[in-house]
Amino acid sequence: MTATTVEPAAVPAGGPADEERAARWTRVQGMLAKELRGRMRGARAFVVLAIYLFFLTGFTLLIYWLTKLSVSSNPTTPAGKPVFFGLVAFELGLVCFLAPSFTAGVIAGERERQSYDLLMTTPLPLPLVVGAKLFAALAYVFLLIVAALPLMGVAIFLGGVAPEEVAIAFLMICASALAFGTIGLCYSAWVRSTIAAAALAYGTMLLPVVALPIVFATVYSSLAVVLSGGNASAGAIAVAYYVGGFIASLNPFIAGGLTELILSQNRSLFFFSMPGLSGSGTLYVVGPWIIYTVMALVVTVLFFLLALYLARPARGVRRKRSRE
Amino acid sequence: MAPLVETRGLTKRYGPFLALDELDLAIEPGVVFGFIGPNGAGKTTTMRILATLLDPTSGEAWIGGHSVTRDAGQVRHVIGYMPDTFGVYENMKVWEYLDFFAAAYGLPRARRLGLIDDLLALVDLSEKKDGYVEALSRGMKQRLCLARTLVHDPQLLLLDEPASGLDPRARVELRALLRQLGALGKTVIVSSHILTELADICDHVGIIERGRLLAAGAVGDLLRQVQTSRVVLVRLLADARLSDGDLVERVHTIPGVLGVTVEPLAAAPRTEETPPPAPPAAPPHLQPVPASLDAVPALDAATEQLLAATPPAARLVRIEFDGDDYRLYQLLGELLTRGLPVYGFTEEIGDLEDAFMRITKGLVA
Repeated sequence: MTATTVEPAAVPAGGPADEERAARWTRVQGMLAKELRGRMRGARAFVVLAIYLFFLTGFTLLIYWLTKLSVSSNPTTPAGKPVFFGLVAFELGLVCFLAPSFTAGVIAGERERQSYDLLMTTPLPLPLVVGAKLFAALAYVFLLIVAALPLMGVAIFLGGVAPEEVAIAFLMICASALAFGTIGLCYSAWVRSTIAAAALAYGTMLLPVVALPIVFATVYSSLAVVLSGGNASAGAIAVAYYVGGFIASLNPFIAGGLTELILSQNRSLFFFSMPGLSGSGTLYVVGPWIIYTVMALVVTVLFFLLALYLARPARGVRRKRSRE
Repeated sequence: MAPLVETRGLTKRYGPFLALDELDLAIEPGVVFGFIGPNGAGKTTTMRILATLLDPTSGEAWIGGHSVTRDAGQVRHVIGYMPDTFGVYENMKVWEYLDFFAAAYGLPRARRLGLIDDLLALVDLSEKKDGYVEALSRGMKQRLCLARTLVHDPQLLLLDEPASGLDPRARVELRALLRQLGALGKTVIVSSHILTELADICDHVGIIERGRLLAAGAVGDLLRQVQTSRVVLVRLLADARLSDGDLVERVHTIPGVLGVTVEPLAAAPRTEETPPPAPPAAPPHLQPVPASLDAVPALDAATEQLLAATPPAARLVRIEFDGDDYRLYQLLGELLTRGLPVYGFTEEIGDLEDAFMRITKGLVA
């Protein structure tokens, strides 16, 4: 064994504030490098990306072919729209399933491999640790999203798709990735097993994506009958529309569909008025994609803060002490 | 000198289970402190509290003057922690692993490169620098983790069962490394329930059982504290005329003797040419050995023959004795005066195992 002395830290030039700033930046770089290296190293990341693009391209060609077949009687109908819808739906679905699975293991995995304690005894701030893990996990999801952008460009090239539609779709997909990824992160901080965290994250994701449309359709089909009876007040009708519209906008697919409907009616994408039904007067409406994006960002912030709380190493103890 | 580590009334409960009970501890800088206790005694709980990973239920702990609960961030700059079970990032290279942790402590890149080489040399892993962590043996991973604890040159190392799961060679290497760290002036708290591991690397120990610190201090002081009486080992030449019963009777009546046990020593084969050694001459400052052995009744011829064929073994007499060094000197004189063929006279110094067994009551299985 070689006798070696560990030399004391050299004092960098500049004041303590500069030194601390440099140290903080070094920590950020180190944490990001470690997480990205773990995520992207090796052939796996490349292979997954290649397979993903292969299937997406095949899917695009399939939609294009089907579109061409169905509109062959009218060759002037642009084929871009169906291709665009198909691509967005595919990517949205992919993000809903991939983002939670990518983040469900980031903290639970550290606990499983018993490396979390080592991390927590370093001066790395908890928000940096959790944030870097979320960033690295979502970076790969964003890579998949960005890699699909050229295919969306093809949809524009085929006609019928406006650039703002592509921008809104891109924004909604990114917001979905953030929200569902952060939900996975939160469960990862809460439970000790990656599998349990993934199961819980999928369960939560299915609420707005699958359960919400079913409940919404059931409740509002009954409500519509009541409201159209003519006995409801204008205020009640307005509230029903707003609440219904808000809940419907929590589902990315419905929000996207409604946005497309609004666009097809040449209304403003952001804020517009529409005549109310059954004498409810004019209703002022915010674009569903805005509601969805904002709510996704709110969910992201809330679940990230919750993840920070749950990721503290001594959280169980503090809860117990506060009860005492 | 102000203690580097201090705990006052440190208590930790897990529901109804009391893991740590009013622990008061003070460890000075530069000390290699062994934390001894059976499994479940509270060693790991203490280590985790000191490492800022657990909050105590009550009480407080300070490291380098910083509270582990209120100034956890400051404490983390001072400590290097190695848990009993830990994982490493398998998909990283050895140098990347150390580089990451060095960056976590804010060390600039230019300094990290040289530091990694130094640390790998210290733990004898230089040739593995560019290898993947997953390819290291368990002992190597343990040494890598130890190097990780040193990246920021901490004042205090918290090593929880560092040798658990290691093969004998790796244990020896780790012990040597810990001794080296002690020689470098590091303050080290190392826990173990394997006392022999700690015996030759620690200069201070604390014995804990059921969450209570039963004893703490310098190893020598602790051993002296726990010894209620002195134990003297007396080696006697083989003497067929002296039965064990007689021997006990002669020794037991000496003032200060609390107890006597006799056991045979493995006799060295005696050749025909070698006459049986004569009892040694008494030291000049003692009374001459009386001819008391002549007073012992002679053995009958048959017994003499039997003993001649199979010479009696030398004996080891363990005397429990109460008295100071002068009384001990008198004891030796008495033994010789009473005609015992003494050829060895040593005081038995207890070891950590003795101290541990005396102090603890085996409350934890």
